[in-house]
Amino acid sequence: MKSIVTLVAFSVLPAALFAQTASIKGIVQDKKEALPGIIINLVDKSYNTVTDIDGRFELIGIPYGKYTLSVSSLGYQPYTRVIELTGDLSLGTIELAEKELNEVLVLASIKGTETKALNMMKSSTVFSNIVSAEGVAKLPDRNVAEAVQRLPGVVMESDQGEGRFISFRGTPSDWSAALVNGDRMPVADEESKTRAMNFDIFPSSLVDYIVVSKTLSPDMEGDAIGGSANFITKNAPAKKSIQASLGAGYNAQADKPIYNASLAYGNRSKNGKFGYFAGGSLYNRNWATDNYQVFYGSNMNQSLSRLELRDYEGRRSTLGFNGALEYKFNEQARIYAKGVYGSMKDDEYNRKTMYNWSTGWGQSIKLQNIHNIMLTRFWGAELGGELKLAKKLSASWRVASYSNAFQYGAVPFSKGDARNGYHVVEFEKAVDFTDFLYLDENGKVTDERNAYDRLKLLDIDSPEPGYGDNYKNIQPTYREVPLINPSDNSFAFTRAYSETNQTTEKDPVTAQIDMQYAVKNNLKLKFGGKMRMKEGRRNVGLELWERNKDLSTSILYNSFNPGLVNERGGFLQELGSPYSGKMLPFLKGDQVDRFVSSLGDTLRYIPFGVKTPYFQQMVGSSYRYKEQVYAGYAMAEWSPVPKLTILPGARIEYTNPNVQADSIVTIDPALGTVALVSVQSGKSYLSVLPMLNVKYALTDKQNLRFATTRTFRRPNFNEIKPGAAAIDYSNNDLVYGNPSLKPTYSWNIDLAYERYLGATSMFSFSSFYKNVKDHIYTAFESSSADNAGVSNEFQIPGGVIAKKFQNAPQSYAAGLEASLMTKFRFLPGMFKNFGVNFNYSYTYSRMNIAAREKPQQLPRQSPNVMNVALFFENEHITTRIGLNYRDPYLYELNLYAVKDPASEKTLILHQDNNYDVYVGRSLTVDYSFSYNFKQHFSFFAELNNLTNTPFTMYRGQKERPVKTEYYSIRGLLGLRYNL
Amino acid sequence: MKTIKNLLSTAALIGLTATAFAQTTPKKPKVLFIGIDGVRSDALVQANTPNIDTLMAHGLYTFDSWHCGQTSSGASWSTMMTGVWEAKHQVTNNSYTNPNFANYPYFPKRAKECLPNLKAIQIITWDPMNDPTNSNNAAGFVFNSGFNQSIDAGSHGQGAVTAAAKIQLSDPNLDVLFIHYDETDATGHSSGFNPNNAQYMNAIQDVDQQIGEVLAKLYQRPTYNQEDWLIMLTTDHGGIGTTHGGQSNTERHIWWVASGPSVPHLEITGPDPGSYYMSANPVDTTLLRSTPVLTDIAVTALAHLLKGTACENPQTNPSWNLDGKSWLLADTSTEHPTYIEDVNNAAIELGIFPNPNNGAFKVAFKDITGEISISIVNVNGAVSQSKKVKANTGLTVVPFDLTALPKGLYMMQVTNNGKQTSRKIVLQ
Repeated sequence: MKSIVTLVAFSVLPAALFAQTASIKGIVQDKKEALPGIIINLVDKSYNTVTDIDGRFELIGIPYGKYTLSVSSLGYQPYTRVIELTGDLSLGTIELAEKELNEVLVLASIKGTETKALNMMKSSTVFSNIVSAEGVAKLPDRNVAEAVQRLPGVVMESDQGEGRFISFRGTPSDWSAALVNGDRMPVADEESKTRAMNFDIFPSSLVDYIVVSKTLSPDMEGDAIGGSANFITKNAPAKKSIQASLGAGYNAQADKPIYNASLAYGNRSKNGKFGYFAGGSLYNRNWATDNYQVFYGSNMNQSLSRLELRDYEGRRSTLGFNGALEYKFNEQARIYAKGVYGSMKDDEYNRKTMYNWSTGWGQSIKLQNIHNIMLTRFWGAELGGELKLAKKLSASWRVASYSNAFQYGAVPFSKGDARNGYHVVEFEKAVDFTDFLYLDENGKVTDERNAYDRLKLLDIDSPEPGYGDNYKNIQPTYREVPLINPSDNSFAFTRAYSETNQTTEKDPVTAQIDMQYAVKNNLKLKFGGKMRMKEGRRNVGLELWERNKDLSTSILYNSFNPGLVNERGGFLQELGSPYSGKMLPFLKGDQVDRFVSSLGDTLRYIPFGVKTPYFQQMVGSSYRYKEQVYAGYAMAEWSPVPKLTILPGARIEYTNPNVQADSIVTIDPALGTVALVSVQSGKSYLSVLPMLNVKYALTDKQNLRFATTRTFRRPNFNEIKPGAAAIDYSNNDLVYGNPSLKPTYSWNIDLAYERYLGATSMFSFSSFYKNVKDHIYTAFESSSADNAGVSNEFQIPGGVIAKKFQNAPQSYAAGLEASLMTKFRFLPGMFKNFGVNFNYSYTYSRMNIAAREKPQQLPRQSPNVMNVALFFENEHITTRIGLNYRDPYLYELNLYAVKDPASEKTLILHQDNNYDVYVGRSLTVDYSFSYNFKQHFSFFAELNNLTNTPFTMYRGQKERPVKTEYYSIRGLLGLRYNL
Repeated sequence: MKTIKNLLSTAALIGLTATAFAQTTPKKPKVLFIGIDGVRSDALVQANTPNIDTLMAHGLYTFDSWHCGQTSSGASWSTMMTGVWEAKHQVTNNSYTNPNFANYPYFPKRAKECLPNLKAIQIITWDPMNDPTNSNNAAGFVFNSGFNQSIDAGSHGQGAVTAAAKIQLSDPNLDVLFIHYDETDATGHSSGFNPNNAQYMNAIQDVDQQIGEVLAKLYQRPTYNQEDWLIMLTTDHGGIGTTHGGQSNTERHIWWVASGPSVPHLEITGPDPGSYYMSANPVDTTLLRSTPVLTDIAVTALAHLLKGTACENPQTNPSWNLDGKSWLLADTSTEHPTYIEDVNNAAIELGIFPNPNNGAFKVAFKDITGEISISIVNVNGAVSQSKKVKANTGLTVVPFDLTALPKGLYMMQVTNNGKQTSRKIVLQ
């Protein structure tokens, strides 16, 4: 790195020696605080700059002389000042007057105004959207994923009605980066093995503002094909600030309350050198979900194997803390520290009534009593500073450490017991279903006895007129089996188990240094480096309890006196409560927790190990990993003429992953005993990412942008893991990692036009194209060999399909985006205070995969996404109704394949999309209201999911449902205090 | 099954070699019982399964084994292992709630009443049948099984079962080995029990290869010639759609094989004796006495193991109260017969005499009406001789002379009033 610095320094020295020059510096602020993103220029000269996050600016290398300095911004009165330069000049603080006084006063009562966000957006050198703290606060959202989804081209994937993952521009969620203060966050999620951040642990109150960058510059982390969302946590304020809020609400589905409280305090010493901030928030909410799921028996036809009625009740508690310290030694040096902590506890009861038209038991009803507590803890700490090393050379540095961990809480045993997990107590009973369609060998309807095929079908798939259930009312009808054993009409205990899961990911050290050398005022060179050490592990297991057949001949459900579930107004009342009486009785919560311990020796405990059923499945899903990333970049920011900014540059990232996993080796064939052998692999790769961003300001308020960038996606650790396959028994497939997998690269071309209309108004139109190489997907393996080359005597059993992660050939995504933010100022009277926020994006993508003849839509990409918000703002009232629309999208391709007995080739079964899984259309409406009084107080109300939109998934078409889930409306009322 | 026609002729020869080196001391009876879960009959017929075909050619097999109980695994295996129906053992599903193994134990337990030193092992992949307390528990309380050891091949794949079986088969003291392959059933559940499902067919073909390995190891036993092995191969139920447990013919109408020198070499057939779960098709106890069914497995195994002992006939032992019947030949010490009569067959009752013969024989029918059509078909499916006669009241006798035909295997196909019966005839 040293040599680069010297090299750069020498090469630019001559330019600096031309004439006698000087610099002009200053700080721009309004009455309240510093203004970032404000353009400073010398009239009719090609010297211009933009204020930084603290409102500071510096113009350098200006020949002595007389100039007119102009400060132009959105939302403030223009400012000009004549200056005479005879040496370095410090202008001190330039205070801008607000244009629309009464309006901005109200808005500015919250740190970070929308105007600030727009100014930053306008002067940004990359394509970006910014949500200010105020913008976040206005939205009825409690977590940042929900706030971000309101931006153009952003799609949110949710869990139990709350935002969890986001994806940009129709790319898979793990193609995008979630950054906190510029760092990619470690990820630890119960389920997801990707590098995509689980946002539900991240309360929006921790965030000052959010920058969504759709094109990257070389100084940003390069593994973000879709773009990156950077969450900037709150900083020490310029002066004393207090924010407090207290809210209470109601979740209609749970029929239970919600609480929310937050408190933040910040101040600065009299001399302005020392500033601090501390904040905390608590969000407790009861939630509930009515859900039904349909399982299809096979990939051969559309017959149903199971209907599951699920009743979820839970309590989520999100806790967030953050703090910031800052000390300014002088104008040349500043040091700061930040800390952030977020945790989420989700205490969840899940009762499943499963009508099994076909299972291993035959035809049965199974009842699962489930209780689990999911704990996710995230923290980060950061120390950084800025230093002006020389007149033209400045540096900023930061060192940070992050950790994210998931584990299950104290169910069914006390805290710390390794057997705690997703705890299930299961009972089953055989029945005879009477709603089958029986077909003979020629596909003609026949009776049960002579049936060649027995199917439970939906009306759309039925070959027989009059037979088949409508997708909104899928009913199981059955009779009791003839009584041979007296217990045949009782539910009998089958098993209890805890799915255990400890998942952690830490970035113990992330260090970054950024240098800027200003050659001339219109040419800045930036270079820097970054390193990140990462380590993580996913450890899953299954603790099992079965009836001890030596000591107990039966464990019958009725002996526990199960009770009917509180259906809270009717299970799936949205559909007219079609399953009235079909949700069978369940154990009480504490009975579930105590079930295993209270039965003592009557149950036989099978600790997780080689004897456990599904041992293989768990082994293949457990792994440990380390990864070191070293990155360096160099770029220039060059304005050959005042209106044009060109950012050429390149970033290089070196990634060195190492994944350790287990292979299963048979040690005693006589006894069938197996053992685990640790295997490891890791292939390092160097990613060279040239990037070019161009911005041309057509006028003061119009930008034309162009970018061409190369970005990438690192393979997930489960994708490159060696050793045993992860087994999905429900799909009967094994998925092997592929240690020689290549990262995915994308060449991106972006074009945009932006028009700024005023302090809070803008319009933009953009288009993009991404050419993606080596997209990662799962392809079929014809051989049963273990990919690590390590002895693994586990043969792929007959009928099981082995898959392996592979690089797909070419794929692409192209799209258009439009965005409008405006107030209806042209309207008379109070209508002036109305406004609209609108954004829309259309994305078209295609991916070539070996298995399908035709190119496919990229999974998890929604073609049409739209947000419309209508708002009203005056000095007291801010209210807004928002609509969020998303097209259905392909979730997962069904690439089920069968080995053709004749050719021995593995052939894919379905070329069409009839067996692919989709996520259904979504249209949600939210409402928020706030009323300001006594200057510092505001009353607020929020209502979410007014349309009670279900989350749906389906197979091929919406009339073939997979998952339908209702969350109902939730609302919150509260009081905020801001100083 | 595709290869069965080619194999039949050679199979008969292998059967012969087994008896050619007859020892003066009686050979020790032993049982290898292979269970393959959820293999539907029509799928087995269509699959390419050379090892299973060879077994069938060596012995007695049926595609007319009718399931009279619940076609779920727990109920079916319990029936096969105990030799009694669900009303007695009380296992009607996979929960094994309130079983009556105390009164109706697994067959090795019964065998040990007579032969206390018998060594019996099971290798299991299906968890509910493998209660570890069963291992090394001579009392075998859970299933009252009598297994000396229960090896859990758990979820380690069928390769582990085969590997474990091969090791066990190298133990000279081993008397009874039960091994269970579950992948066929798992594949049926995930992709469909259907001959048109290539994946299901692949699974059947894969398990056939496993069986081939196990049998190869069995035949390599140094003591093989001093032993009298009965090899039983069965499934527990068929399947339909992606499940089983119902009462359709594709689930109930299954198959099994008993192979080895002690059993007759023929296909046995029989009509549906009914089901304990079908009100419209109740169990016909008379038919149960002649049709091959699941309870016959344990009884045939017991009859084999107890052969030559002073113990009571398992089929009739009143204290055991078993439901099944044995399909063993009464005596295997004589010359291998030219043809064997299917004594229990009830489709068309017929007799062949004299017995044995040199190719000239008479087929006798009693109390039947209408036209009787008899064809002698060679292994290539060509009709060598055929006769049509009108049935008389009382006895109808049809003479045949096959002495001019080449040596080898023939099938005699008899049709009368829409019923059909086949017999295997070997000309030597």
